[in-house]
Amino acid sequence: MKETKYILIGCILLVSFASCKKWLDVNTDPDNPNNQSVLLENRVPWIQHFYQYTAGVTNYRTSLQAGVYYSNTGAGNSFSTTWQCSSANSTTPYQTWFVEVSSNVVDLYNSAQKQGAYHYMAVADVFNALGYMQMLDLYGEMPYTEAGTGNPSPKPDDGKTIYNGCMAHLNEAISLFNKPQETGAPSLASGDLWNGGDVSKWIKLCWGLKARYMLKLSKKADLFNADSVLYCLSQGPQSNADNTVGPGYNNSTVTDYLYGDPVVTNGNFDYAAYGNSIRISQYYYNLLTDMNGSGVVDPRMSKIVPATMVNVRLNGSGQVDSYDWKRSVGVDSYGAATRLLKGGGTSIQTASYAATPQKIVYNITDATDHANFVDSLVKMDKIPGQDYADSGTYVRVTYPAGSIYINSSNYIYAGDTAYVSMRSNALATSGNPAQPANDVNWYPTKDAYSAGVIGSTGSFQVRPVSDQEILTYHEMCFIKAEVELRKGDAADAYTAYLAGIRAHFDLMQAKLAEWQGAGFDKNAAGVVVPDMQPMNPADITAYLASGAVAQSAGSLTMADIMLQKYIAMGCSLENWNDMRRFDFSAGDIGGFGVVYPGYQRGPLFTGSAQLTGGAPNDPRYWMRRWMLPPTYELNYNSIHTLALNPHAADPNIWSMPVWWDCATDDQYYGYLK
Amino acid sequence: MKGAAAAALYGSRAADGVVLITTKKGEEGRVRVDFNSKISTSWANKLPEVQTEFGPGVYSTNGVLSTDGVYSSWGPKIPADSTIYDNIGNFFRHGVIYDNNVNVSGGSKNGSFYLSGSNFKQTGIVPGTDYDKTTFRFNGEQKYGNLTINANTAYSVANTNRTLTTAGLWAGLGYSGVGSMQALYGWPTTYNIKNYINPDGSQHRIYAGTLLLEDDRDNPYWIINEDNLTSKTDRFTGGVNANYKVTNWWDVTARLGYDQYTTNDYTYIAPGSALAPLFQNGRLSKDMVNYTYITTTVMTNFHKTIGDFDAHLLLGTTSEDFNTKNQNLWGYAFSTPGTISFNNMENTNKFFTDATTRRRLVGAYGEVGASYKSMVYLTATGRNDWSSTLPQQNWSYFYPSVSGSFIFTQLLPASNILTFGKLRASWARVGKDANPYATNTYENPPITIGNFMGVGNQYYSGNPNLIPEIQTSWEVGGTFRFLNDRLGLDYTYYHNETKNQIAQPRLAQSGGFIFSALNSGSVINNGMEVAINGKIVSQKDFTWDATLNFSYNRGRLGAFLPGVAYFYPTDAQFGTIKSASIPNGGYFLGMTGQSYLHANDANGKEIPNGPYQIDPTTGLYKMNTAVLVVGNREPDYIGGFVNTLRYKNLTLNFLLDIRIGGDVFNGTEYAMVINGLSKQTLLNDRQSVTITGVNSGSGTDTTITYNANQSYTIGSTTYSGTNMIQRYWSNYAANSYNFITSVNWLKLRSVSLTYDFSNVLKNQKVIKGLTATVVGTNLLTWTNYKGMDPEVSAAGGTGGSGSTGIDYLGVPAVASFSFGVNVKF
Repeated sequence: MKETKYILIGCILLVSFASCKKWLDVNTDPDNPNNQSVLLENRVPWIQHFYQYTAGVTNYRTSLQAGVYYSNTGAGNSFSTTWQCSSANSTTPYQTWFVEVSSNVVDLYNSAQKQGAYHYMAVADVFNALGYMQMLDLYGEMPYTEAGTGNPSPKPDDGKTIYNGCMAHLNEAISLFNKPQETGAPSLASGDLWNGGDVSKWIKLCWGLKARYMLKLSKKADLFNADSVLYCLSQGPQSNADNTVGPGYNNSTVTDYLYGDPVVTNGNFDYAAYGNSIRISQYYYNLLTDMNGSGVVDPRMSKIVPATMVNVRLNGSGQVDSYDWKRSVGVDSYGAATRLLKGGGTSIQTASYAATPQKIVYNITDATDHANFVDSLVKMDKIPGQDYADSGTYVRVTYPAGSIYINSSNYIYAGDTAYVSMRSNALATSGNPAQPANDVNWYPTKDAYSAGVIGSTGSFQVRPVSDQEILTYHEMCFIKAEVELRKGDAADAYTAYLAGIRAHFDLMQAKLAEWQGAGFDKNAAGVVVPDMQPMNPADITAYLASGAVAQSAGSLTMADIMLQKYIAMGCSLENWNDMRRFDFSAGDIGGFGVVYPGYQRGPLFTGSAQLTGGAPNDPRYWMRRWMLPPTYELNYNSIHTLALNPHAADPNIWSMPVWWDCATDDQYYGYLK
Repeated sequence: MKGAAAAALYGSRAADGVVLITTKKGEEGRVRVDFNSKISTSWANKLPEVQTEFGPGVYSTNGVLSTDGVYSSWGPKIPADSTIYDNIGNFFRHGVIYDNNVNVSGGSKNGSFYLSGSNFKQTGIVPGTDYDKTTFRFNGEQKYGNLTINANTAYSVANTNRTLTTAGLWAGLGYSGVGSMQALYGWPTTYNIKNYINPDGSQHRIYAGTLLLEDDRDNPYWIINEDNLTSKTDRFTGGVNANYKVTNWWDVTARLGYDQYTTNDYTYIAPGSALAPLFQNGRLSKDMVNYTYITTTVMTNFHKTIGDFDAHLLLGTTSEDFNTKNQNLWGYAFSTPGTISFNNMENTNKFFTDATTRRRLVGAYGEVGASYKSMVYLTATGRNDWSSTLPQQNWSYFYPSVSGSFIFTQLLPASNILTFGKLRASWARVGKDANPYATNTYENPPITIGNFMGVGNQYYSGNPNLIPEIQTSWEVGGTFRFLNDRLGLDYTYYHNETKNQIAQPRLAQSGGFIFSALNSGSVINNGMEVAINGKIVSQKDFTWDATLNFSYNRGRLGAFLPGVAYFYPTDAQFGTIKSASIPNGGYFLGMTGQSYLHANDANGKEIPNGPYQIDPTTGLYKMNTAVLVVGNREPDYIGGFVNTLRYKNLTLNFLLDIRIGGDVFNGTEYAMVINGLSKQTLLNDRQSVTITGVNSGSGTDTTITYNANQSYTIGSTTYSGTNMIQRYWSNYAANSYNFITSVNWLKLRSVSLTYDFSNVLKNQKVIKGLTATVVGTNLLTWTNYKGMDPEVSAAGGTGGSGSTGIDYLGVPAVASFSFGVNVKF
């Protein structure tokens, strides 16, 4: 009896231990694939999308700094208006690159290597360069060689190391793209959102990026080589057909796992036109309406600067019957800044829609303001007693049904309908299921949509369905024009300058025609939206012959080139990069004079703790880099970060030039001491 | 059971000690019925205070007032004839608890049973929150010769209305918020927060004209009345235990335990809530969690007495199997108003996800012990675990322990002075495994873009090289009783150190992830516990027993990942403060924050407590850009004083709770300063502020006063005085030290009075016992802390256990009063 028991217990123990290993082997998540099993052709579209996303926020926020846009949010306004740079801007581009993309690039490269999928390895190299060069442009120093692999405290690299690393990755990419893939490796076409697997376009992208990056060295007498740039350009995109763009779609309401933004839209849209806080800045507006003081309105202006409806009358069924388009004006931060001084730096209001007539009573005690306010009503043909009433210090205005108006009794804001929001609607952001995929206009409310009253027509580069320009032929032309001018070859510079302007017109025309063809140029109420139709070719011809464009090689200035490039690049990090290379409006680079006239500290400037330079020719006078994300890098990785750059957390880090923005290594390393 | 020594029997989850709940059993004899009933009411014991003199608005740099869309209260004085609303005071209500419990038990020589039913019904102090739990329990035991079998089962149903407690008021991007009371505490006092709905059923918003719905905040009353957030948990637990006595010195026990529950969370966000536009037509989410835990144990015990020696040997094996299945369904935009169902949504707006979590563990263990003359005891244990959660090459780990005690009074002549004395010591090691799936990096669900599908990494990084975490601890102590046991003393000193602690902390994002699983470092705890108990009065009609206990713990972080200056183990990061552990010997419950710079001495070193530096580029105190350790949230000492006084049938019990030291960050006050509602911001009627210190450039003594009605040029910018006063306060808020207090308190934690009516009932046979009790809890607190109850932690506890010592916009702590009766039949 006893023996039987021992045997029984012994058996149970043996059996349980033998099957133990199998029983315990449950540490694989049955619901999610892991980072070794993901298909290459699924990894690349993820990387491409989230690169577009991180580039989108970077383009947008640096465009605030470069004077393209104005923002009325605290953080955005610190870039567009006060220059009291807020580190609230710092985290998103960093997090979207490092968390959403960087580790995927590492895994893509390793997985592709195992399969001999050289084109996928090359794509990983390209993204390494695109992403880390963007990080370098913004933050100057951050982990590079130890980044993206789950290292808990990667050591940062200096700007020179990162720059050289990016260039080396591009060189490797070029050689990998030229190599036939091993058999069994998936074709690039099966996983390429951008170029459909066209390897020659990828190679041109690599050369074009090399040209863009070599241009960054323009301050460095020892490293800048104009002929090398020209050689890269000769291997890069030769026409708009060679452009690499990321697509923007409006066909899904799915939003992403980290930020909750739509996964199909253009990354620029997600930041520059997602909400109502952004307006065209007067600086950009002036370039589009009065380049070189010519008074000539650029045909691109009405495609870039949004418009809103005014003087709306509704018909019996509550739909728009008659209306006028009112083109936005720019918000002035650098000049007299009258409106901002009057209401405060962030005070530009967002328009509302009056579904029913709305009465607002304004109390205007300042006599001059009162008179001006009433005068503005008279100028709008408003009828006293009916449209408005003026009594003592009070003015009562009735906004008829269908009006786009400012819902505030503060008279200072009443005219803010003149600053049209950059916002566009997407399926995932409108909250209005009735608005179809091929109507991306912003309607302030569902009532406004039903009536067909458009709050904003949006802007060419930042609609959900806009192409996100990764690298374009027109940028190549402007780089060539600049480099040729630096070489003293005005004739070749002029040819490239004109080619750049024309290429940009062509790019816009093609997209505008595509939108028109897809019905984006009218809404359900029958309103025709000319902003999404092609430009009049005669206007383009006239513009090219006008004083807005240099008319001869002899009269071509660096400012002509860079300002046309500025218009064409628009919502792009490259504008701020270029401005740094020319020391903004200091006018102290080469003999080129002031390249960005009118770009200056405005009356609302409060950034003296951030930008400590005392005069424009002091490098520390301008915004030259971003502070690292205060929590996720400065704090979490403080030891290594401060060891490389002890000033990384100083309030005036914002004005410390990055490596390529310094004339010499001595200057750069001097800052890091 | 205390300490790591328990871990051999109960596994690594017992590393911090074991609380053994012995379920009640029936007793031999007649059937007994026991009935308990309690009703209790609770209320917020302290609310945040707000200023009521200045209304909403902000002043721009050049002094222009904006009020449209502004929630913060930096605006002009509220006119005297305006109505001020006590929004916070009116919000909370009295909570009520009904707790009823009946049990029946009985038994015979060979068997016994115990059956109980109970219902706990609670309504919280936050309107719209309640909790209702009903539990049934049955235990039975039967003997068949040498075999004893007992079984227990319990079934419970719990319903929670968690509106406002778990989902927050700040719902950004359509996802649930952080559970804070932020909207309530920050509501401008000139607006009645109870006015939450318009006649047409839409949400009434103060700034409907100027703030888009997605940029606004939900009114808490809207959430309470329009949203619906509930949880239902059905739980079944059961166990069968068989013990067979083979001989009088050997027995074998087998045990099977089972725990299964299903939780259904239901979250309905009403159309018109302040969410991203996509979700403004309403959102619905159903989350179903199915948890199963099965454990088996086979254990054999040998026990023999030989002369003065008594020895035992225990061998056992155990398995544990956890399985959690989680399914989430969610969708948005109801097509037809009023029908709250997934059926009423377009297919493109509905989503579902699956999550499966499995963890398995096998353990084999043994214990050997011996004692001599009931005077010296020695025990050693050893256990090996195999855990599914570790990489296979590291999934087996062994951990031993030894402990002993010596009752030295056995050697001494009997004495009335020292009646009993025992010394004890132990040393133990415990291993611990990881979370499931921490060994690999997993992917996000695919996204479709055009004709392509994108798949990419989650933001958790796995680690294929994890090794088990090992805790080593030792403790010494003694128990002494004096004066015929009238006075007792218990003393323990302990030390433990955890190495290779497994964590998945937030780390530098340049690593490519937000969280990375790793063996991070070591944690060291030292502490002491002393308890003195005495029978102060011991007479027939009057007794007074008292216990005074006192303890401290010193938690420190040891060696840590190189290059990481601060370890942030949790997400408790509020205001300017982060809950942090400081590597290489720093506080385990530390806080990092930021501070003004003090003046430098001649060598450029900061003078501790020197005057502050004033930054000429801002005209305000200069911030130190370094991240600083600004506090230790661990108390220096804690203590309690329990008194039980009985006079005849009346018993009075009260517990005093003492705490000395330990920093608390008053984040609620921080938030109030930021949004201009703090009473501190009424300084000088907001007409002026003055800063005093030294110029950070020149070092010269500087005093600057900013008057509301003047302008100031700082650098090249002109600032209005009104704007400078706002800037002063935001500069004030940025200095963490302005909100940190080393907190002491003395609390009357509870006081109760019980009367036993047994005597009155002597002459009848139905009722065998009757007592009635009144209890008051948290009725009195004496403290140097200025905010709410200093026990309030961040956001009502949703900041996690790591948020202790951070008072940030939480649900207020409560005081309560209850009345209960116990009847025995």
